[in-house]
This record gives sequence, C-alpha cells and structure tokens, in this order.
Amino acid sequence: MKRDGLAQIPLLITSAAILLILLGVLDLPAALLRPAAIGLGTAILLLTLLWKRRQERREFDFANSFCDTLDALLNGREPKSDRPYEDSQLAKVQGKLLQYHDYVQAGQRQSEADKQNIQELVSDISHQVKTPIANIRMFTDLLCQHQPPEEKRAEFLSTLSTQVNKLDFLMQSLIKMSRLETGTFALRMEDASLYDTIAQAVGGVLTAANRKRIQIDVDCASGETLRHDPRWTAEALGNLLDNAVKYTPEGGSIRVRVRPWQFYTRIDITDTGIGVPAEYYHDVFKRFYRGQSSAEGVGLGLYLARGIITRQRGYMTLKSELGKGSTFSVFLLR
Amino acid sequence: MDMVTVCGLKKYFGTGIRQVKAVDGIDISIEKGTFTAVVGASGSGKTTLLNLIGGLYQPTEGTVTVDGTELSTLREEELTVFRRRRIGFVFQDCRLIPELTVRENILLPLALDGSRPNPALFDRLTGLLGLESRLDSFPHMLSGGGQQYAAIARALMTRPAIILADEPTGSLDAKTGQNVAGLLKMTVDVFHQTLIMITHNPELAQLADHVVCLQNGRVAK
Amino acid sequence: MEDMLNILTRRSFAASRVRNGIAVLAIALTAVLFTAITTIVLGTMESFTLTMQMQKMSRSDGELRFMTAEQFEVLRQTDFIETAGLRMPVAYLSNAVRHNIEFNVEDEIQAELTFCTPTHGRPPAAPNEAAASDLALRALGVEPEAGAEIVIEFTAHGRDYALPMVVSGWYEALDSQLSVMWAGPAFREAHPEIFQFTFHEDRDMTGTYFSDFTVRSAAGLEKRLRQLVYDLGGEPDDAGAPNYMQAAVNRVTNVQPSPFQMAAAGAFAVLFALCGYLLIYNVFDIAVMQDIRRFGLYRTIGMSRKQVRYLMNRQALWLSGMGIPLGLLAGFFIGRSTLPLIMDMVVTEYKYLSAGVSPSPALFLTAAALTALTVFCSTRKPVRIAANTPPIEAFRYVESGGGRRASRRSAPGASIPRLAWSNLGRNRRRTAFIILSLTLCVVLLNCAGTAADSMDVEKETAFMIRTDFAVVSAASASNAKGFLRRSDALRAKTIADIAARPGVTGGSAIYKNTAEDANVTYDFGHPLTGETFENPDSGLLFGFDQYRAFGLGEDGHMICNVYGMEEDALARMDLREGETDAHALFEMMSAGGGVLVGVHVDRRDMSLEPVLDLANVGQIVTVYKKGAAVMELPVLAKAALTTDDVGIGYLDAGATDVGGDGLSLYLPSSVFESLYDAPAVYKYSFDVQEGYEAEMTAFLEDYMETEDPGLSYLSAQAARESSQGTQRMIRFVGGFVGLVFGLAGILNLINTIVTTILTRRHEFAAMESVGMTRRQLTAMMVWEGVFYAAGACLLGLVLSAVLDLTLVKRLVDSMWQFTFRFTLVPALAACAVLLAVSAIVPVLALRWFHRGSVAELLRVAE
Repeated sequence: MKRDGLAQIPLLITSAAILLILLGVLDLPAALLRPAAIGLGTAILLLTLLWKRRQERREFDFANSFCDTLDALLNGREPKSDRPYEDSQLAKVQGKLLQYHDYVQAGQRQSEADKQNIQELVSDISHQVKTPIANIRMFTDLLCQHQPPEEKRAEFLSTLSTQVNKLDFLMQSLIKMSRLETGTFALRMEDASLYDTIAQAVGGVLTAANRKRIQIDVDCASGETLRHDPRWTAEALGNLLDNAVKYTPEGGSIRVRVRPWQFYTRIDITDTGIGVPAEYYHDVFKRFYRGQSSAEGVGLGLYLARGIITRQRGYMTLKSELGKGSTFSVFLLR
Repeated sequence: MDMVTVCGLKKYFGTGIRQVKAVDGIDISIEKGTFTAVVGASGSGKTTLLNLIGGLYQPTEGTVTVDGTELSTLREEELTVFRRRRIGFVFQDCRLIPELTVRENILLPLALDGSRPNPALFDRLTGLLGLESRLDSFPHMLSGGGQQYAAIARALMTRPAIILADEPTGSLDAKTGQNVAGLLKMTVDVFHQTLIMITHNPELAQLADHVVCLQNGRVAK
Repeated sequence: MEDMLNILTRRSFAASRVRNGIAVLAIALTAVLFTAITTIVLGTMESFTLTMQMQKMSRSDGELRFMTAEQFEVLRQTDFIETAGLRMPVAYLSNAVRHNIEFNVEDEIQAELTFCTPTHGRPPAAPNEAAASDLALRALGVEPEAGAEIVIEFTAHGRDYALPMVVSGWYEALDSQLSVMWAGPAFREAHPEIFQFTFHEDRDMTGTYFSDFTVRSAAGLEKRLRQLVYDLGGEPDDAGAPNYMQAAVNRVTNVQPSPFQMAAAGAFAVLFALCGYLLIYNVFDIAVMQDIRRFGLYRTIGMSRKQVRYLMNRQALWLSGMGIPLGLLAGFFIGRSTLPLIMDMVVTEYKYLSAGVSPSPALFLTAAALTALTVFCSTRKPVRIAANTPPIEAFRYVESGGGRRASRRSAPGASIPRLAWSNLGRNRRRTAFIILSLTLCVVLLNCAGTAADSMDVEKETAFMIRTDFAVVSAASASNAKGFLRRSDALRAKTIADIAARPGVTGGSAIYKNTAEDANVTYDFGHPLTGETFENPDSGLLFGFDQYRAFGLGEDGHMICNVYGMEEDALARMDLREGETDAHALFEMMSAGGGVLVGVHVDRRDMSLEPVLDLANVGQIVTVYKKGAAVMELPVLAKAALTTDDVGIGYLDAGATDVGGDGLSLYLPSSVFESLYDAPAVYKYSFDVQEGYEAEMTAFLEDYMETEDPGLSYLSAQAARESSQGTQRMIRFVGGFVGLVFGLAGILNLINTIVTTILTRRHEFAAMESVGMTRRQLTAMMVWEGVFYAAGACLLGLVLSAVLDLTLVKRLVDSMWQFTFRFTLVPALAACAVLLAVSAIVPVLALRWFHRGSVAELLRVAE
C-alpha cells in the first residue's frame, strides 16, 4: 500500500511539471511568471527523470550483488561482503541470506555431531563393558579349567552371577542412554498426575531405602497434574532417588517436595547424604561421572535423569552442603 | 564452529594510578548454539567482557570476532547495525522503553532495522513466554518477571546470533529468577541460539553447557 | 502497522508534558520577539511611508513633467510603467482666500495616486464638473457638498477666465495651505484653447502633460527613467533646454531603509536570536541531559545516530509547530498594540500620522523563518549530544559530579549556604548561560537607563524654544513651505489679541525679511563664484562660494536673513562675542550704530560653527536699498543661534529659502521698520506668568479654531513633551530588551532549578532521611538560586559601570541632546528584582516538583 503510494509520486510530480510548463506556454497573466513557470517545470521534469534513472540503476546493482552472493553460496564459497553491517538494504538481505545458509548448514553439522556422539558412546560403552566381561571370562575360565572345589565354585558362580547382573544393569542403562542420546526415544506427553509418577519412582527405591533405614517423605498434593511423560519422568526421578539413597548413610532421610510455580513445577529431592562440593555441581551430571568416594554405580543415573528432564523442556539444578546433604531440583514446564 | 572468539582481550578504564584493568587478557571461544555462563566476583570484569562482545566498548587491546566479523573493523554506525541485527541484550534491570507497549517494545529493534516482523515467530515467542495476554500493556503494568520476559522476547525477536544476558535474574526474587533463567535457557534451546549469561548464582550456572569463571579480569583455572 | 520510530517519537513526546510546555514557551517567546520587532519595523516603515506620501501628496513611484500629448501616449505604453496618471496643470485659482488651490485636469488614476479621489460624491465627468478638497471649497466660499456651484477664476496663456463649475465630489485636504481641484478630460475638450502646448517656446506649463506613475519593479528606476526621457526625446538635466522634461523618482514611496536602520534591525534580530538561542538551547540541553540514559538504551538496542537525530528533530519540529504560530499571533498583537506608542515616540511633529500595520505574509514568514532558524541552530548541539550518546556509558551518566563530592566533605559543619554553593558548578556551561543572560539583562537595563537619564530634556527644549510660547502663521510652521512671503506674516490683530491676554510678559514681535524684500541687500566683502541657481520655492537667485549658498537680491548682493525685534527678545539671545550686554547693544543698534550677527552652533558642544562664522566683530556690513548703499553697520556682537532664533521649533525652511547661508542679522524693530518697505512679522514670542500656561494653550487652540485658522504655535511644554518622548522611547526599547533577557535568564533559572530538583531527588531524599527538614532543603535551593542571581548582579553591576563610563558615555557625548549622567540605579533595581525572583523560584519549584514522602522519593529514584 505504502509502496504503491510512493510509486505514484514521480508520476504526480511529472504531471505537475508538465502542467506547469503548459501553463507557462499557454497562458499566465504576469509576464515575469511565464519563463519562471516553464523553467521550473522543465527543471522538475529533468530532476524526476534523473531520479528515476538513478532508481533503476540502484535496483540493477542491488539484484546483481544479490545474485553474486547466491552464486558464492551455491559454489560453496564464503560470499565476500566488505561491509556486512552497513545500514543498507543490500547488507540486510545478504545478512538474512547468510543466516538462512547457516541454518541449513546447522542441520548438516548436527548430524555430523550426532555421528561423532555415537562413536564416543560406542567407545564409552565398550570401555564400560570391558571390565564385567573380563571378569566373567576369568571366572568361567577358572570354573572350566581348574575344577575348583565345591565351596569355591559356589562362590565363583555367585560372583559370576553378580557380574552378569551388573552387565545386565549396565546394558539396560546403556540402551536407555543410547536412545536418549540419538533421540530415538519418543516422549509421550500427557496430562497426568504428578503424584502417581512420584509414587512410582519412590516405589522403586523403597526396598533399598528400608534396608538402610532411610525414611522417605513425600510432600505433594495428590491432585497435582502436569503435562509430562510419566514413564520416563518416573525413571528420571527414580534415578535421582536411587542416587540419594546411595549417598545417604543409614538412618538418614529423603524428602521429596513439589511446588507449583508460574512457569515451572519444582520438585526438590533433598537428602541428608554426604553432599557435593560446589565446584563439582556441573560435573555430577556428566556421563560416567562417579563421586570419588563411591565404587557403586556406573555414573549414568544423573546423566540420564538430566537428559530426560531436558528433553521435556525442563531443567535441573543441584544445591548442596558438604556433609549435610544435597538438594536436586527438577523444574518441569507447566 | 565458533560463534564468538575472544583473543588477548584487554580493556582498561582511566589512566595512570586510577587505571582500572577491567579485562586483562582473556582468550575464550564460544561455540555456536551453546549456553555459556560467566561467573565471578563483583568487579572481575564480567560485564565489561559482555559489553565488549556486544560491541558496546572498544577494546584496549585484542580482538573480538563475532560470527566471522572482527568488531574492530566496524565503524560506529555499523556497530549499531551489528547490535540490532546480531545481538540480543537482556539486562538486569530490564530497560524496556516505558512509552511503548510490550508489543512495540518487542518489535522495536526490528522496526529500527526497517524490517517487518515475522508473525509466526512473534506468536511463538510470546506464547512461550506467556506474554499473549499482556502485549498491549505498558511495561510499568507488568511485574518484574513479566518485564524480563518481554526483554527476552525483544532480544530474541531479531533472531540474533548471540543473546547477551547480564544478570537477568539479579533484581528478581529467587522464584522468579528461576523462572526467568529457565525460560531463557529453554527459548535459546528452542531457537538454537547462542547464549552468554552473567550470573552470581551457582545454581543457575549449572544450566549452562560451559562455565567461564573470571577473576581480576582473567579466566580463572 | 505504523512506523515504530514515529510511535516512539510521539509517545516520548507526549510523556514529557512539562518540558514540552517550557520548550513551546521558549520557542513562542522567541517568535514573539521576532514578530514584534518585524511588526514594529514594518509597521513603522509602512506608516512612515504613508505619512510621507500624504505630505508629498503622492503615492506614485515617480513623476514626469512637461510632456507633449505624443510623449504621454508613449509613456503609457512603456512596459516598465504599470499605471500612469494624467495631469494637465491649468493654473492656481486667483479667487481663493488664504488657501492655494491648484487647478488641474486629471484622470482618476492620477487622482487616486495623489489622494484626490472624492470620498464624498463622485469624480467629475461633465466638462463643467470639478472635484476639490474641503478646504479649497471653503476658500471659495461654499460648504463642501456635492452639487455646490462655484466660480473659478484663473489666468492661462495670458488670458483671464472665470468659469462656473459644479462640485461633483470632495475629499479631505491633506495640507492646510495647498490643495488640488480637478476636472476630468471633458473639461479639456471643452476648452481646447487653454491647453495649447507652448512649453518649448515660452515655458508655460499650461498645456503640458504631467504624469504620476507606478512601476512594476523599483529596481534601477532612476536609470530607466532617465533613459525613458531620452527615448522620448527629452532632456532630463538641463532645466534651460527647450526640450527639458523633469523626471523624478518618488523617494518617499521608494524609501530605502538607511544602513543605520538596517543595522539596528539586524542588531535587534541578532540580539533576539541570541536570547532565543540561550533559551531554547538550555531547554533542549536539559531535556537531553535528563534523558541521557534513555538515549543510551536506544543506542544499545540498535538505534542509529541518524534515527536518534530523526527522533529529536521531529520533536523539535512539533514543538516549533506549536510554539511558532502561538508566538506569531501573540507577537503580532503585541507589536501592533505597541506600534502607535512607538510611532508616537519616534515622531511627534507629524500631524497627519497614520499608524497601522496589516498582517502581511511577509511579516509572518520573516518572523517564522527567523524563529525556525533559531530553533534549528539552538537544537544542533543537544541533538548531536543525544545522537552521540555512547550506548553503555549513558547508564552510568551522572551530571558532571566527580570532584565536587570531595569538596563537600571538606566543608566542616556544612552550613546550608555552603551546601548550596558546592552545588553551583555542577554544570558549568549552564551556570555560565544563566549568569550571562541575567548579566545582560542588568547591563542592558542600566545602559538604557543611563542613556535615557542622560537625555537632556531641558537642553533640547531650550534649543527649540527660548520662551514659553511662540506663534507663527501656519505656513511658517510647514516644513514644506516656511516663511517666504509677506502673505505668510502674522496678522497684527492676532498679535494684539494675544498681547492683550492676561499673564503675557516679555512679548516681542519678530520681523523677518521675505523673498519679496529682494531690494534690501547686504555686502560684507564675501566673494562668490558667480554661478547662480534659481531657488524653486522662493524664486530667488542663489549664489555660491565653496561650501555655501546665498540668496541674492536684485542688485546681486546677498539678501541675508534679517530679523527685527524688541529688546525683550534680544535679551533672550545668547551673546558670545563683542558687546555682550543686551541693553547696551540694543541702545547702540537702535541708534544705528551697528548690527548683531548670529552664528549657528555645533550642537555637540554649542560652540560657534566655523563654517558659518563669516563675519568678525568690527567688520562693516554695507546695506543697500534698491542698489544704493544706505547704511554702513559695524558688527557689534555675535550671538550663538538656536533654531528658535531663526525659525520655529526645528523648522527654518523660510530662512533657508530666503537668505540661505547668508549672515543672520538682528536689528531693533525700529531700524528694521525703517529699512524695509513692508515689514512682515514672522513670529510673536512671549512668556506667560506662572500658572497661565494651560490657559494660554487653551486660548490659542480656540483662537486657531475660531478666529485665525492660519495660525500655528509652539509651546515650551510641547517641546518638552517631544523631547521626553525620545527619552521614553530609549527607556522603553532598552527596558524591553533588558526585560527579554531578564525573562530568558529567569526561564533558564527555573529550568535549572527544576532539573536540579528532578535529577537530585534521590540525593534530596537521602538528605531528608538523615534529618534535613523540608525547610532546610528549601533554604538550600533558595541559596542556590540566589547565588546565581548574586553572581549575575555582581558581574552586571561591574560591567554596567564599565560600559556606562566607556561605551555609553562616548555614544551619548556624540549626540548634542544628551549630557552624560552616570547612574547605577536601573542596574540596582534590576538586581533587586532578580534576587527576589531567584529566591521565589526555588520555593515554588520545590512545592510543585518535590512532593511525597521520603520513602516514596527514595523509591522513585531507584
């Protein structure tokens, strides 16, 4: 609309100029005005023509530069732009074009990154699997070749079984992780009761907690519903609770507290465990990270938990006091 | 690929005895699409670093390269254009323009650039940030958090290369702060943007992919 | 969607209403100043021109005389002539009493150009119809009325005519002495014998064509007119040539403003521009300062300098859009209402003065353009500051504080004035601006005051008139005519009537020789060049020496200006050399023992003017009558002349046209009477006893009305008033300008105080929170205001004194009406007002802008 209006201006000016000239040629009362009118009209006409010519040349230049940029991108060259941030239309369009180019490239880079990620994962997995397999091989060898006495054999078999269990656990975790990592897992988001999800997670660690006489308090309104994937969220919360049980000494307590906020629902899991020094806050969520003091576990629980929460557009934070306990906070988008 | 490369960066204020070495030799590079938290004590040079990256200061020494362009090669007016096209600022005090509505505030940088807003992006952004119902309110009618959401929307509306957030939660209470930081991270994730955020709060720093800790104008290690 | 930048511009504009109000006021004030000055200048020029045109009885651009019918036709067709009137002089009527009536054949164009279009009745059409002025008709003995029947008598080509005519219409005469009666071209057709063209042979102008004309453009008119005369086959310069054709540009219409007038108008414009600049600059500067954070924010989120400039310029444009029309309107009315006042002061001696100004587009355009220019100039710097705001720096911007804090800390037991003092230098430039404009106010007021005070009313009055009253004939009081002929004399009855009034003392009739007394001449051995020239007004031949012109008598000796008077009058004269005792001198002169010579003075120091000091005491002046030496009179004494001794008021046209620069000779009445054939009384001057002035004025006014309309008088009172008018004008103009600057200074002061209050809210709140009472806070701000004013006053007083003693003194000394009197009273008065205002402003400002509880204020400042 505005553009159209602008396009009319030269036309208007031109007609005005012609009118002026005509007036000047045909009839104007005062003799002095006549040459002035003709002169002015001609000047305006000439200026309009010049302006139009300039405008056309500008358009031409613009199209050419634009095509140059496109060609460069098509041929895989960096388009050269001497002043990318000039306050001009051309620079603006070129900037947008580069942005688009980048966006397309980003997908390519992403798949490359994914590939690399999988390679790392494979090497990590092979590294993790090495020890239990070596153990199993050793004990199987012992059982097969050395014919150990009965009591020794029972001991070996039990150790063997532990290693297989460990391997199984490891494999299951690794499968989950790989699905998480490669994005092949599908979140099933639904409006479900958060209470039920938490109950499911707590149920998974209840035996272990009872064994260590750890009390678990849950502070959550039973009617609290939230759009989330209950299965995977229960898994993540379970991992966090598992972790809490693991690092809490006997007779300690674990508290689960749910607070609905404006944008997020916050779930705090507070334990009375050994705590994490502040400088390691960032590390505990890393793959295969294990606290120095513990031998148990493979260091995937927290990593998995964070992955699951992040996939749901939520986030997790940790706050801890050494020797007094830690609080893992899960923020789920409402 | 690096979005920001900072090389031997120094920024001194004043001269002689009263000279302050706000940034005193920093080398970092920040990857595209990542979230970097900058932490450090007051006066460690965090804000100065951020302003240098945003092209608000000229470095005393060293270079800042953003998305392949070295900032020192840009003229004053080009820096302005660079800022409005490539940088989204989110400040501690949100600094919305009081005479403009939330909608107008969000669209202002685009308008200054003479561009038309992308309605889909606008709707998505305001939807994510919960601003739909308050678009025609004036900033003073919004809570502190609400204003900060609007500031985030303003920063993201131009699809900038980098979001620079200088303690975006600093003047908010803990709860709102968490909300803001979470949303900031989320929107940045959704739109694949690069975020550099200064924070005092170690809890929030956990949200970042990388943490840069500054001490006396240098990266502490 | 509307352009966001425009929305932002509009909204941020709407948000700062108070500031916009101040800005509009500032712009409006500037526009008022410019409009007022333009109105006054244009109005004065317009009124002057019209007044002068009326005096000259023509509003044409020029006049051509002595043309033939063919030449007149060519003139009409000439392309640079817009309209040309037709005028064929016939003669002066011989049957009119005490009024000169020029009888012409004219067309309506000519009548219109010479103010002769009938205002009652219609223009003449039939051969026996004529239009004339009211005074002319009265002089012919009829009441002015269309249809009245008159008889006109005149002589043309040596033949006497007496024609009955019918008055078709009449108009108001512009001059009491002379007016025009005219008939239409039909009259010419009816009396072809009158209009024979014989000019080339006998110089009889009856039958020639005259024309008052207007032109399309006055540029180079003089040259073109001469060319036209040549083209018509005439000769413009040599009055003796047979084909002589007189061509004259009407300088009254085509008045060129003198360089001095233009310089004065220019100086005022510059002064006002400066004042407007000070005001507008300050308003915008403060606005930008207050908004510096905002500009920083704009710049941070990517507003370019150009866009900031656009925003600011747009707002300035809007402010101008509101302020200028407001100011134009206000200024026009102010200008128009002060115009008569100013005209009154400028001109006291014109009778038919018409003061008025029409709201012409030129006036408004000029004023608007000047204001716009001022706004443009004064916003450049603030706009640049705003546009160049560094993006981030602005967030930390505090009005240049820095070192100030330290000095405040070092003030032990900080007293309130001490605190105020330490705040002064926060913005040096603005402080300087305020003090400068306030100082200018004080200085200008004082200079104007000093000049007005130095205006020596008594000196000027004494120069114009030595007695309480002087009575002359109306002709003598006309600048265009003057006392030339015996018919211009005062009537004896009038003198007797006045002398008979109670309270009249020291009356003396003053005789003067006329152009008709060319048979009495004087010789004192002064050599002439032999070149002569005929004076057109008196008809006398004038002779020349190197610098001077002298009226010559029939025998070729000088006529001189000769006065005869009683002893009372002589005693009033300022005798300088020779016999200075008036009584002794009068006795000696009465005995025929000599003559008193008057010499004009250099008015600046009242010393005798050497150029006109032609005779020495003791020198013999030989008196000739009809070519024979009748007396030899030695110069007994010399007197310093004022204009009262040679003329009336400032008018001495008669003396110039009769004696020229010849000696001014003063004789006792008895000697004068014996010497001249028909001695004519020029003037009757007299004093009145205390308390009779008003009565005498009333008597004279009444006498002029009823007994003798051809009378005019000047009183010391009127002279004094005229002089006081000048004084008033100086006071008025100086006061006005001073006031403007005072206003500018005070507006700036208000602005600064308000800004201080707004920007230092937090500081104030902090001070209040630690126990400063509101009263103490107010006191602090009052002190601050007073410090500004005090600084300006101190500077103003010193500068006033210095300027008074140098510039004003020199200026005043160069004009004779002034006697320098040093004074600081106006400055002191201005200072008192400024101090009072500067103390009140902060109180009011705090009341309006600093409200609410401490906690609230602390929060606002966050």
